Amino acid sequence: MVQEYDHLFKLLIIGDSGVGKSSLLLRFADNTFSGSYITTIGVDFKIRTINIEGEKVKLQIWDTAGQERFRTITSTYYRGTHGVIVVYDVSNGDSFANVKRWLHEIEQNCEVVNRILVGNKNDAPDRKVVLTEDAQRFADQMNIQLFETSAKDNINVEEMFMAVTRQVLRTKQDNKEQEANKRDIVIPGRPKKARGKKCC
Amino acid sequence: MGSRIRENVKHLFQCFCEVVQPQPPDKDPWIIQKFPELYNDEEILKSVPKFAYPCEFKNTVIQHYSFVLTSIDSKWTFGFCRHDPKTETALVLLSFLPWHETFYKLLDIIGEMVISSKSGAEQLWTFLDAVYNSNVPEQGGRLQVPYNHGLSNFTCQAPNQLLLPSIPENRNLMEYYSAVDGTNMMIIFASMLYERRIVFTSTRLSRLSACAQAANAIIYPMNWQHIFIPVLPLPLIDYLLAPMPFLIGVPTSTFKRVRKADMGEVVVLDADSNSVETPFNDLESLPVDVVNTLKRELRNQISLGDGVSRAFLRALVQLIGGYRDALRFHQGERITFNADAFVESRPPNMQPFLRKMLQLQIFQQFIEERLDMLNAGLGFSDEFELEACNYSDKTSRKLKQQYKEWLSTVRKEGSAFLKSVKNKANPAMKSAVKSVKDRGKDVKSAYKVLIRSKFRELQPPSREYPENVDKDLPMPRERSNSAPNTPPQKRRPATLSPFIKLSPTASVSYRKDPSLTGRKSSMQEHRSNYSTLSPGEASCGSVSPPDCGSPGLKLSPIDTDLMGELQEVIFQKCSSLMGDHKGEPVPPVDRTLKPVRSFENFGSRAQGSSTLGFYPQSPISGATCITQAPPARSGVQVSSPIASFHTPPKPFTPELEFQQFPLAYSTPKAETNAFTPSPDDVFTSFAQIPSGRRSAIPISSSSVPISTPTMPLTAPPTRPSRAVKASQSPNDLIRLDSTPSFEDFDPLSSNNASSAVQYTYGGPANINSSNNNVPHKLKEPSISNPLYPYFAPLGNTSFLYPTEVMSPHSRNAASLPPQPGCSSNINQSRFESQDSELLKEYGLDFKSLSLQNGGHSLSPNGSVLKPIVTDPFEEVERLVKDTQQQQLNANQSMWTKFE
Repeated sequence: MVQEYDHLFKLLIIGDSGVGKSSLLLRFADNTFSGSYITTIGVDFKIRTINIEGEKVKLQIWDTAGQERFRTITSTYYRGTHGVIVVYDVSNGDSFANVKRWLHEIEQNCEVVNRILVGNKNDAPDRKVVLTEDAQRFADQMNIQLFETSAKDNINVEEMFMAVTRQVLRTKQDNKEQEANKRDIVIPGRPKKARGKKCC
Repeated sequence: MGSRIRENVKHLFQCFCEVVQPQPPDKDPWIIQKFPELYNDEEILKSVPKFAYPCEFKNTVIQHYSFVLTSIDSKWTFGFCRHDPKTETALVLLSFLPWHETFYKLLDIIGEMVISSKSGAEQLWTFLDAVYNSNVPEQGGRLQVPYNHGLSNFTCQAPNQLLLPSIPENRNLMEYYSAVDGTNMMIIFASMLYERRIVFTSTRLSRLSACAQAANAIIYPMNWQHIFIPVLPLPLIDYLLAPMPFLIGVPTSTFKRVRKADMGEVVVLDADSNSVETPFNDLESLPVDVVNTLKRELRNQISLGDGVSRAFLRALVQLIGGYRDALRFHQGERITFNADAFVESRPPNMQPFLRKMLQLQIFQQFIEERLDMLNAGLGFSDEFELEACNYSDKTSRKLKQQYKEWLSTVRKEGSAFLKSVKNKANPAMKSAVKSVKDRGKDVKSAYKVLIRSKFRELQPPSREYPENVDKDLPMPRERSNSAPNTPPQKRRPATLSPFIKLSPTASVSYRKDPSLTGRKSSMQEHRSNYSTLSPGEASCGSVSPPDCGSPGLKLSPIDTDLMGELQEVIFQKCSSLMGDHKGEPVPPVDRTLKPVRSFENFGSRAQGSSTLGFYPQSPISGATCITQAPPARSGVQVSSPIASFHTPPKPFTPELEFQQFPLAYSTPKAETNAFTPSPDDVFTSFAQIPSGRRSAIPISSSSVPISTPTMPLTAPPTRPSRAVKASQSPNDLIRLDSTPSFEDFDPLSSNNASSAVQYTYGGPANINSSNNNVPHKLKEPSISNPLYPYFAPLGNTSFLYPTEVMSPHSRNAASLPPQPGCSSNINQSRFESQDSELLKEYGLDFKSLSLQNGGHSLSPNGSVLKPIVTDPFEEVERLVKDTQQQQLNANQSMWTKFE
């Protein structure tokens, strides 16, 4: 088969069930792929191919069931991915608390993971309990981008996915440069880095 | 919680479907009928046909396999399939229960009904209705549903969750074991521990699903937390591109269509050709000793029984059993897990892997699960904990039952005993395990030396047994103290040194125990009593000398620490006990230990019965208590001999040491050294008796009445649970004891072996002079571990194992010694003939043992104690000198933390 894309990125979307992950994916994904298996095999993914900076990028965005049962999501879970979309529900404080914990965990244990923070369901101000300022403060502290979206009203969804894709692409390009530099310098014993795009 | 099996399942199965096979070229499989007809989970019903016909496959014989569906909450639904080549449909049962054997059997019955006649449809529906509406049997319970007009019965027995998968009963494991050799099983095991992306392939669906299920079962007590699809339908092939960890069974025909380049790094097991492709070195990066032990166990494994499961379980016990050492107790707060402590409590060569272990989802969930159970006050007594404490005990239930029986014999104190036994036995086991783990290295070295130097020498004929008995008598008294070991040291310093080190460390650990500190406040009140008692006792009892000797170095601090840590209740009990003991030789140290024990177990025990309760924790102790109590002091129960045994509070530290093989061994050796004649006899007895028996023998002789009773308790539970294991355990024991090559021996890793070893140690120790110490040590851990109140089996098991193992052999050997002596020793009315019979049933020859011990103990007690005392002191000094070694025993301190 001919490669119909320049890059294949595998992203994870994590967050409590009920925060709207599936809705976000549906909003974003190509409509060519139908059927969801999240409720039958506990995993689902959506695909979309986009153009960024002249590069054709195929995105796979993966979702798994029951993540909220994890107090921490360990690095093995992110090991094969290029980026993580972390979603909470702006009307659910608990979902934000989980997200904070998980991000701290990633911070501690994953060397290079592209992350983006998403506050979904940002369409009912009267029910919003996670204030933008709080979320932004946390995002700044973790040095990640924050997007407040509404899958329902299709607000900010596209921007969010483009942002994370751009981030992953940039990381990949940086890694390439670094590896090129490394070849000149020759730094032995870094097998993990050899994976390049992958985190952890 | 880590489990992905649903709880509180109301129906044996959720739905029965008959699926028509796909009709090429373009017709997909579809459900032709289902039961109950109201079942309407559309997502699942849509998926079932895909999973019932996941690919093109040849169907020449009736084939069973299972698939797994995962719901949004990550819980599993199992689909059991039956393909009959004579039909064009597949039968599918959906259930929340992973009872493969049950549902395959049920499918066969349904298959007969489907084929028999169309008129049988009504019969089928009636039958399904009856099964569907039957109550799901409790664990171990039975369900019986008649069919065929009452001429036949469908019976199913709910699997006992405490039992490990065994061959041939477990079809999944059997299939896995027959298709994949040990090395490849280990590679997959390691890959799962690293949470790789793993693919199983086979042309046979039954093999595919069985291997995936078995591979998951083998990482018990952990659970695969990631994508788990034992049979992947062709339409879902893209899910092999998932970047997250997964375990997916892929029909070979499907896997050929996958673009490998898109998959990334995947571990692939071809179950048909028994080959593994992996880009990783996961097996090589597991701790070497764990891998070696596992290799050896798999190689030596008799394929029948749960040996395979247990080999892997032991490997996991080696790897993560130390999590207990990292639990942190804070009064009024939830129990927490200290990751750093977990890593640091283990040998340095294991630490890098354990650091990675912390990054595993399966481990995180395992810890969460254990913490939840503990914090909910449930304790836990699953196979892993049992194995951790003692490999022999499979079923806590059996143990409990045995305990109950035993208790009934005890009569009055029965209830208190039971509680105490249950509570304490577990903790003891844990502590023993911990100690073994922590000190495994030290032990190994010491072990080797000891074994090589003395074991062979010591293997005189059983004739010497009488002498051993005499020695044993003194030994028990010494038990309370680590001191007994010291005497042997004199004779054979090299061997002794390791032991000595252990004991000191144990004391140190005591001080450090966080849990103890937490309880200090409550304990303080009693401290005064305790301290006063201990001094007097120390002088009197043999135990006291060792303590004193060590105290100079560490004893005093230990006592103080213990006191502070001990709760009020414990102290009260202790004080009462101590008061009783004062006159007796029991050392003050013992008392401290007792308090500790009591502390842990106290919740359930009354003060009066508390002493009994303490002892009960460990089977041995319980027995001792019983025997003691009957004679003179029911309440206190601390008759001088008995008291020494039970009380040996210090034994706690010693227990740790003992548990750690090296100590136990050292004690025996030490004892032998000290009592040149007697020790030799003891050893000889050991040598003569099978390894398992050896331990039992020493115990019986040393502990006399007490030890024997405990032995029966433990033994019955374990053995009943696993006849096979019992046979195995003896072998292990033999290996450990007799085999010079102990290098590989890892206390933690080889639970069975360790248990056996422990026993043997305990046995020798007890026999020689440290009988008391051994029991104490065991008990101590139990006491120290508040977490494991429900674990009774564990602590018991360790003791039990030896006893059990020994019981068969020991019975004979034990019988050799004069029974009258036993009776005299016991002299407790409680050791009636009935009781003895019970014990015998468990393979314990208390009478004989007790006789020996008792005869000696009565007159020689004082003498025995004295020698022990002197030796302990010397040992202590050596220990002090060996501060470095002690420092090395930092792990020991970890132990104490639990307390």
